[in-house]
Amino acid sequence: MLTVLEKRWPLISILLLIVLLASLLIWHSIARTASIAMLVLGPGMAIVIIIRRQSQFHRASNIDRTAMLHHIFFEVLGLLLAIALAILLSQVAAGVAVPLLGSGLVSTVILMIAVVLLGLGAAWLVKVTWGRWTKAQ
Amino acid sequence: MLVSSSSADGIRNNQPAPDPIQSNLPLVSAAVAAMAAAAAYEAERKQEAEEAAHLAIAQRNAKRNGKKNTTPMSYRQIAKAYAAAKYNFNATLNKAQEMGLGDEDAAKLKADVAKSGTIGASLGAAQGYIVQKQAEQEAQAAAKRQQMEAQRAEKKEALLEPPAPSMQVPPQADGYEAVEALRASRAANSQASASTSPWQSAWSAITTTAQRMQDGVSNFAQEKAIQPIQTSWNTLKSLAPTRDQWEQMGLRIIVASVPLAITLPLALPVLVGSGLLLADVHYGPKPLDAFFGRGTDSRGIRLAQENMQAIQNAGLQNNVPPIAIASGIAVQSQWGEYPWDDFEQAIADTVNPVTNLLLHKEYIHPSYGLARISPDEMKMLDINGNPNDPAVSAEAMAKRIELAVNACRNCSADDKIIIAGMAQNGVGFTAMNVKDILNPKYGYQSPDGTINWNSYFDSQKAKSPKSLLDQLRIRLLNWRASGQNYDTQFQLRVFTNDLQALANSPDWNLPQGMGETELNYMQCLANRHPGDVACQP
Repeated sequence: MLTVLEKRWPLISILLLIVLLASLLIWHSIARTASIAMLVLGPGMAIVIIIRRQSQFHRASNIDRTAMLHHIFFEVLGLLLAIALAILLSQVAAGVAVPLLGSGLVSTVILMIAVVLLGLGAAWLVKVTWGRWTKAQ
Repeated sequence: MLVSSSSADGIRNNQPAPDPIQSNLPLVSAAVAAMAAAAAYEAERKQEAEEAAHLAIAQRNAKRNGKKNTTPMSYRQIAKAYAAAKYNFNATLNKAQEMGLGDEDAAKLKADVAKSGTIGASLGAAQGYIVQKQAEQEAQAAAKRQQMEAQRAEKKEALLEPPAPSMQVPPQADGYEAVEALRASRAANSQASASTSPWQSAWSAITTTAQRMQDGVSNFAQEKAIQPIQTSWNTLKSLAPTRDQWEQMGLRIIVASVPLAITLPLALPVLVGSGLLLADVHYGPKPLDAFFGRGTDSRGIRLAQENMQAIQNAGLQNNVPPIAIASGIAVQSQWGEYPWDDFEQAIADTVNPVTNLLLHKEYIHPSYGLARISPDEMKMLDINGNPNDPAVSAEAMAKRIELAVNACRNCSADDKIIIAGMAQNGVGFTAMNVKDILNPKYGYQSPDGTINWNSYFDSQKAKSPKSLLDQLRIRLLNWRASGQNYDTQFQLRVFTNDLQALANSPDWNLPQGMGETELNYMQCLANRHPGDVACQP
């Protein structure tokens, strides 16, 4: 079950994103619930995948237990850092964009695209700073 | 201080129902950004892990090839080894295809593996192709290098002039022979100079000088800058913890964070409580009680006393009892003389606009002066001047109260002073809220005009956060208001405390028709919780 979920996670997350955008534009009543579910599910699933991957790596005797804990700790910390940065940037973007663009369909879609790009940018930034630093250790 | 903490909510209360897209946007954008960041981070990490796994398998295979294991393998081990070998074969085949191996050949190699069940031969073929291609590439690169070297040498020869004859003295020569040799050398030099053109000589002198200067600068930089930096960097690197030390530190952090995570939620209130208690002991007049609305703060009262003249003038101009304005000023100026007041104001001036922009998507100025009035509210109340001027503060407070009280037509003196108590906090409770109270739909006003404040406060729930980021602020306000509504009942509570304190002073008089009974009624209403016995006027 978990393996299937892990394998299909990119597709599932895209579907969830579509549902979330639809809820924002059409089903206003479920937007908050869907957002909170995504906020829990996205990072939660990423953490599960990190732990599973590292434990598999450990079971295949590629790394010892200390190294596994070390990897899990730094990977999860990096993930949380990326998410925190992404949320912060998205809030700034929403704060700046809404008074400028309003809340029409086009401006909402533009904002969402910008937010996705900011999320990707945050992950990249964490990778080239935090990721590089942890890799050097 | 109080205005700034609730101003944004108040402004929203006065507006029509919010746009659902706009109100959901911060949370949705946070979720989308988090999801995108998690997915991107996860994808990058997965790629790195796959590369690492590939490398580990390759290293293990190499090790195994060097030293054959004689013990028989289990089916699981065989399956794992086959899977690893196949993974290695696929990766090698991909690399070979990247280097130019045709699709048909690749398909053939794959089919051979599927047909025979053995990987070695096909893997060898793919590896052979890669080795061959690499050798070709290396040969091409070497040829190109040679060509470039030859071109460079040609350019160099073209630039350089013929070397000048040497002026060295033969090493074994004695004094006379040395002088002769030097003369001969000078003569040869002068002949050589005569044979070369003056332009060539000048060019030679320039290039030699430039070369010398370049060498000098490079040596200087090497000695004075690069070497010291390299030495310092090496020293720092030798001092930095090793991988093992980092791992130990990581483990220690994990171990230490568990008890910390358990104790912090308990320790934090204890620390904050201790700080407030210390302030309580040090400053005497109970700031802790004033914070929770259980008593007055003498600094607020003193500031109201000191500005009595301005308050009385504002009361006369706006037809508001001066004691109501003074109580409002005392509430808004709580802790007005603390040493950290300026610091706190400076922080609020910086943080509040940014927080408001993030939370409510609009720029709201911080509030200033004795009445804690913001420039936006001043504009709304049509007041000019410096908000830090006591006269302007008193006028602002009088107008806040006047607008709300005037909205309550046919109301009793008790009702008006209760409304004034809530209106002193500015945009948290305004004339709009008074109109809501008087709306027959809610039934708070009886036919004789009196307002049933018991049922009104029963309907007032604690504030709820409007967004995820608003949680902390609202939780703090609700904690302070002990579960009451911060904008209405809690404001009445702090106002009544200060009103009572000022009424005990000979300088201030209660409004006409108001006495001890009415004050007790206000206290009862302000401290009442749903389910308690109803307060009687």
